[in-house]
Amino acid sequence: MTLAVRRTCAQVAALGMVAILLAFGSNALRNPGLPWMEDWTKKLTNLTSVGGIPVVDLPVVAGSYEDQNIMIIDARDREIYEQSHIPGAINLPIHAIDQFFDQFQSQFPPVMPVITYCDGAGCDQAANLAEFLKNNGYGQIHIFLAGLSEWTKAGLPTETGPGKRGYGQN
Amino acid sequence: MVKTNLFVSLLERPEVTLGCRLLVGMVFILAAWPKISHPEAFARLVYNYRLLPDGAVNLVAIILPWLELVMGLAFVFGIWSRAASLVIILMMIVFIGAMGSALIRGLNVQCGCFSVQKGEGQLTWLSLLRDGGVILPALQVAWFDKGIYSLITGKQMN
Repeated sequence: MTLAVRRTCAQVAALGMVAILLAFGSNALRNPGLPWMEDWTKKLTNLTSVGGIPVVDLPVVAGSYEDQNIMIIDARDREIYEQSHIPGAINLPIHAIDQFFDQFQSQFPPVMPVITYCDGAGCDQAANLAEFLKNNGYGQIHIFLAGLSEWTKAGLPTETGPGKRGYGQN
Repeated sequence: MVKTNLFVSLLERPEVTLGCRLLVGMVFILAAWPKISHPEAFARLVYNYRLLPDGAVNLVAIILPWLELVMGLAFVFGIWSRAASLVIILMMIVFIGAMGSALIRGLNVQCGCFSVQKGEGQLTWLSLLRDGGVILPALQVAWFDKGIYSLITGKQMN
């Protein structure tokens, strides 16, 4: 290894060390600092509510997805919804909510309980959609936080294709 | 041939290196700040990518923003810029890999690039392209930096 390469390696290491020292130093000074390690999956799936909206677990959704009096809404984008979703779930992508909400509201007025979901604890769309619906007159809203990943893992049935869109033509 | 030589001679000008350093440096500083201000929100975004074991999420959320800030400042002020450029290129490759993998897996996640606020900065293929675009000026610095317009150069490779 030439001297120049060694020097560059030493500089990389020095810059890295400065960053690490500042990172842990600032974290130690912060109140409360971020714990160095945390079980995020447990932390998120153990939540009983998100932003004041109650969370429902897998058995509840599995027992109610065929109930025509409950709206299960998939908050993910259409292409992803079409790859796989809970049978009968309505697709209402949170990322295009401004574009689709009027159509959705006329097709699915706020008369039934709502369960929103997305991929799982590692996604925010279900919680964001639930919050949006709550602010727009929908009552009895729940979030299925474990989402499609836990649904699939439990061997429950899924549906592919266009399904039910919460906008435009079904 | 003449055109190629002209292009290379333009590309290796110290003013171009300075421009590249300032551009990439500012991008890194701007990217680091929201993550440093809201580490919990950033940790959640890191978790959302589902690439790391849970135990590593917070460590990455604590260290990564400061790594971005230090490298950004090193670029802006010209402190061991060539060494910093190598770290920046490596970081961009890791970011692009993580983002590409999330997009391929069909995860609807926030990019976490310049904002950690809920619902902002959705990850798209454009985010990936933008990150790819940052590598080019960083490569210019790695290749042509001669330590001109710099605070601390050290002895550079030639």
